[in-house]
Parts: sequence; C-alpha cells; structure tokens
Amino acid sequence: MRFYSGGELLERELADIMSQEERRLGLVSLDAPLISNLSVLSNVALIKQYHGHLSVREAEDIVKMGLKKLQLEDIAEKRNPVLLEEQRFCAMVLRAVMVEDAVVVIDRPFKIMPDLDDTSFIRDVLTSVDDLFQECHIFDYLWNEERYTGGMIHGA
Amino acid sequence: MQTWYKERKRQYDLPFVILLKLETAMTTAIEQIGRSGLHAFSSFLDTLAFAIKILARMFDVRAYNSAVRMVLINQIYFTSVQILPLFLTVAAGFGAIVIGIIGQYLIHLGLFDYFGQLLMGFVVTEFAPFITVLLIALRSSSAVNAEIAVMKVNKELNTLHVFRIDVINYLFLPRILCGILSIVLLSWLFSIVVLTSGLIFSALLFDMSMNDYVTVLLVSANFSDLIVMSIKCATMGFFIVMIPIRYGMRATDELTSIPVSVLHGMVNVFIAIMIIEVVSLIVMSLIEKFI
Amino acid sequence: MALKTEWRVGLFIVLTVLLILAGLGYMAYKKGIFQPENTYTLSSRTGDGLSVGMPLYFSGFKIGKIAELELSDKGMVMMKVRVPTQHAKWMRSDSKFVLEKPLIGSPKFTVTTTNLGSSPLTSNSIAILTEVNDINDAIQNIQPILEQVAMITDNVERLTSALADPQGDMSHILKNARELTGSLSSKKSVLEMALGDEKSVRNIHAALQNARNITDQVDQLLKKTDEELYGKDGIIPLAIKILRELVINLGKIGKTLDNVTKISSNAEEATKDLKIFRSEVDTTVNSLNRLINELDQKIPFKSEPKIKLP
Repeated sequence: MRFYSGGELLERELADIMSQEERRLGLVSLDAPLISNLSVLSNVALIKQYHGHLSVREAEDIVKMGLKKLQLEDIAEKRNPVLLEEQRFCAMVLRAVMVEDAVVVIDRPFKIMPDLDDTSFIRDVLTSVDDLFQECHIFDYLWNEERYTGGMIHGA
Repeated sequence: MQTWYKERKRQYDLPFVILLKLETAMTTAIEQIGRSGLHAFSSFLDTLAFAIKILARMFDVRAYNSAVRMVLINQIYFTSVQILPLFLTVAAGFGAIVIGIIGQYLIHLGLFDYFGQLLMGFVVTEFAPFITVLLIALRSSSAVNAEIAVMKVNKELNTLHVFRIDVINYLFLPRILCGILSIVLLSWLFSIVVLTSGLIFSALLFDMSMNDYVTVLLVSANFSDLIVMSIKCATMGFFIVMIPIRYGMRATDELTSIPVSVLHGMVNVFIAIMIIEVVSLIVMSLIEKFI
Repeated sequence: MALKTEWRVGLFIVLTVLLILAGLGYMAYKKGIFQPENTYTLSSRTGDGLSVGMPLYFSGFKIGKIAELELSDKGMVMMKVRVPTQHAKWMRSDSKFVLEKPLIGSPKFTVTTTNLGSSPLTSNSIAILTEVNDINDAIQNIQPILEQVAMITDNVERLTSALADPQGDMSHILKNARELTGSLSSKKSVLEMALGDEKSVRNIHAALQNARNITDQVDQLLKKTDEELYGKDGIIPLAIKILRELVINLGKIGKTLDNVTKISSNAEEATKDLKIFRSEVDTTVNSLNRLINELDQKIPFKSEPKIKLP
C-alpha cells in the first residue's frame, strides 16, 4: 500500500511500477476501464484467450469459477455501463488476476468506488481470489490512509 | 523630418496598402493550398503505410487466437448475418426493378440480344458490389468508426495497451477481415438473388424460358470478370473498414470529437469507393485489351 | 449466445460459399471446363493478332481456345490449341485454320471443315494457320483504284491546262470550226466543205460512180452462162474482189469523215450536214456489203434471185 500526497507523484510512481512489471501487470484503474461492448465474462476471459491461448469455452470456464468465488455469477453477461461500482471493481480485479503470475496494481480504489467507507470490501475481494495473483499494490492519496483500517494487504 | 514623412506616407498610401494586403492574402492562399496538398499527401501516405502494416499482419499466423476469432465472428454476425433479411429484400427488389427496366429498354431499342451481357457486365460486376458496399459502408463503416472513437474517448484502447493486447491484432484485423469477407460474400449473394429474381421476372415480363435465360447468362459469363469483381469487393471491404478505423483513432479525449471523426471517416470512405470503382474499371478494360 | 452467434455465422458462410461454388461449378460445367481436352499444334507465319485464351470458332461456335504461343527455332509461331473432346470431331486433317483480321473489330480464329469424312487431325501433326487480312486486302484493292484516280486527276489537270492554252488543240479546233462555218457559203458542196479539197471530193464521186458501173456490169454478167459466171477465172469472183476493196476504201473515207465530224462538233450546222453525208456513205457501204454477202450466199446454190442495187 502506497500513499502519495499529490496526484502527479502518484501517477509517476504508478507509471514506474507499470513499466517494471509490464509483463505481469494486472491493473485495476479507471484509466483501464472494462471494454464497454463486451460482457464481464468476455472482458475477463479476453486475457486468458489472448495470452493463455485458451479457447473461448476454456477461458470462460475459468472466469465463471472466479465469478463464483466472488459470488457474482449474475453479472457474467452484463456490460460495463450497467454494473454497480462494486461489481465493476470486482470485474476489474478478476480481469487483473487473469494475467499469469499477476502483479495486481490497484490505482485509487476509492475513485472507482467513491461510496466505500473502508477497505474491508477490497480486502474481501482480494482474499477471495488470492490464489490467482502473486502481489498486490494499492496506490492512493495520503488523505485516504485512515480508510485503510486493516493495515497492509500482502499478496498471497 | 522629410524621411519620416515619406515613411509615414508609404505606410498610409492607399494603393500601396491595398497591394500589400493583396500580396499577403495571395501568399496566405497559396500557403494554404500548399499546406492542404501536403497534408492530403501525407495523410494518403499514412493510410497506405497503415494498410501495408495491416496486410502484413493479416498473413501472420501468430496474430490469430480465440479472442481475435471471437471478434471476427461477432463482426461477421453484426455486419453480414444481422443485415441479411434487409439485404436479401433489397437485392430481390432492386434486381426485379433493374432487370425489368433494362429488359424493357433493350426491347424498346431492339437490343435484347445484349440482355445477358448487361446482366453479367453491369448487374453482377458493377451493380451488385456497389450496392453491397454502399449498404455495408452506411451500416458498418460508420459503426466501426464510432466504436473506435468511443473506445479512444473512454480510454478502452489504453486498457488493451495495459494488458498487452495488440490493438491491430485484436481490434483492427478482425474488423477488416470481416469487411473483406462480408463484401465478397454479400456481393455474390446479391448477384445470385438478383439473377434469380431476374429469372422470375424474365419469365413473367419477357416470356423467357429458364433454359434460355441460363444460356444467355452463361454465354456472357466470364471467369476473369468474376475474379476481378471478387478482388474489387475485397479491396473495397478492406478500405471501407480500414479508413473508419484510422479516423476513429484520430478522436481525442473529448466526446465531441466522435461525430467529427465519423464525419471525416465516412467522407473518405466514399472517396475511396469511387477511387476503387474507377481503378477497377481501368483494370477491367486493360484485361479486356491485353488478355 | 456466443455459440448461437458462431452457429449463425458459420451457417451463413458455409451456405453462401456453397451457393457460390455451386454457381461457379455449374458455370464451369456448362462451359465445358471439366471436359477432357485434345491439344493440337498449329504453326503460323506471324503471331500478330494471336493471343493466349483466344477462342477457336467453328461455324460461329466457340469450340476451343489457344492455350500456348511460342516461337520455334525456325522463326515460326507455334501454338497449342485445346479443344474439348466433344468438339474434336470437327478437327480433321484437311481442316482449314484461318485467322480473320477484319477491317473493324478484333481478329477471329476459325476452323472450317468441308469433308467430315477425312481422317481426324492428330495431336502430332502440325496444321498451318492462314491469315485473311481484310485491312491489307482492302488496301491492295484500293491501291490500283488510287493510281487510276491519280492518273485521272493528272489528265483532268492536263486537259484543263490544254483547254486554257491559247496555242493548244482546243483553240485550233475552235479556229478550224470557225473557218469551216465561214466557208459554208463559199464552198461548192458539203463534202468539199468537210474535206476542204475539191480533188478529194471528185475522187469520192468517181469511186461511187465506179461502184454503180461495176454493179451494172454485175447485173449484165448475171445474164451470161453458168460457165462464164462460175468459172475459175470468172467475172463474179473478180467483181466480188473489187467490191470488197471498194468497201474497204469507203470505210477508210468514213473514218476520215468521222474525224472531221469530231473536230467540227461545235459548229452545229456543219455537223448536221456532215452527219447527213456520213449516213449516205454508210448506207452505200452497207448496201454494197449486203450485195456481196448475197452474192456469196447465192452463187454456190446456183439459184436465180433478183439482185437489187441501191
């Protein structure tokens, strides 16, 4: 978990880690939204299809398992614009962990879910899929530090 | 004192000022023409370079995976399958009208012997591809242009970049392949439907038996014409999707740039269609001349 | 959804491709592409107007096409012509292969077979292609006409200049015609006027008088015996001989008078008189001719017809 006093500094640091972990990067950010003309299932499966060279069915089966872990099977066929903020966040996390040996980087989670009071939801989500990623880095502003009540979140 | 006076007079002398303004205006106009020309030329070169890049990628087996195939299937579905009921109705309707008009005129002029040649030379090789490309351009090219522009504005292209998904492979290639495949298949389908409706209308209007109709068509049918027609369709299919993609990519982060990019893209698509039509006519005439 | 889409797209592609292939296949079948073909070799002096894929026509029907064209070591153009076996029956050893090059339009490669009973053309034999070039033929036909036209133009030009020339023939003719017209009142007769010589006129009169005398003598001679008439040295053969000579002489005079008539054609009145005179001479000559012919016919049969002199 990294806190920054200004947006410029945060983005510079973010860019650094993105370039360092380019091959394993699983970004969860509003700057990398879900593709709006694809369903959640297709959005997430795309990573496995493209990099894992899996068939549509194989990739979708993996995604469906992930959605089951998050108890979000019902959003599988939904598209980005109709998702709730939490659902969108979960879909983005699931997509990020689809990267092989993923280094999940969450960019300002409270920007994605402004109505969230604390990080317990984020922690729950990450715990549900902790077998699917290597590391997780959360980037946020310093003034949001108190919302992270549970301390540092480590990768599995 | 005198020099100062002369200088002021020179500055405020009316004919001199007019001449100076005229000179400036002309220079600006010439500069503008030159700038536009250079811009058009550079844009043409960019488009050509982009086309070559896409073509090279098209023959690279590594570019294809299940994700690309899925996009391709979806694109064909939206471009060709969804449009089929409308397309077939248009083909049958247009076919009946065109064949009816052509037949009546030929009878009126005493040139009904050329019925087969007109059907094969005009309806199949010119009319069918043109109507097909027009329908697909109006429906799908604009959609592709808007889709890419929206993705650009929504930063979805950034998503693909972050997840190391090649934009050309994943977004452009299947759409362009779909354009090629759709135009070729739909043009053939259009021709088949038109000729079939022509069979019915020839029997009804001109008392032509099926055997006579088929014979007339076969005598005029030429494999080289059909090959050129297919190549023309493929070329049109390539450009009517590639150009909107390029213009879609030119959209900025502002929502207002979407309609602007669609507008420019579509204008250029129609220019490209005209150019390809003219080039194909030249190629056909050269083939007739030399082969 | 995905499967449904895939299924629909697959169905669309498969059906459309099948439809296209079926159409192309039918077209190819009807055009005889799947039929086995015979290949024949032809040679031509030139490859001008020939091209690969050029159709071969028999009685206006396309029965084959040129498959290959190449230049032999001897500089002849060798071509392979492919003909489907169903049309091979038209290709006979005495078939004539012609490349027609019309004045307007593209060349046409045709084969004509007059004797279908002759042996079939074999693939090993080399048939000769002849060329019918309408353009060259037309030029060849036009060439003499053009030469004649040039000559006519030349003559017209010469004639025009001769007519315009004050020292030319036309001026002389006009001068002579004027003199002839002037002398109409002063000369003694039309004949004298025409010939311009009293002596000549007298000779003609004398000749005519002689003719009358001779015919009178012939009339008298007819009253004599057969022996005297038909003897080897008889008078009648001699008379016939003399008469023939007379006719020839009169013919010559007729020609001379013809020329005079031509020269004085512009002088209307003189021409009228000359024409009358000419017709008189012609009548005399014709009558004499008839007389001789009758003599020739009647003497061998020893009949006694009445001979009327003019």
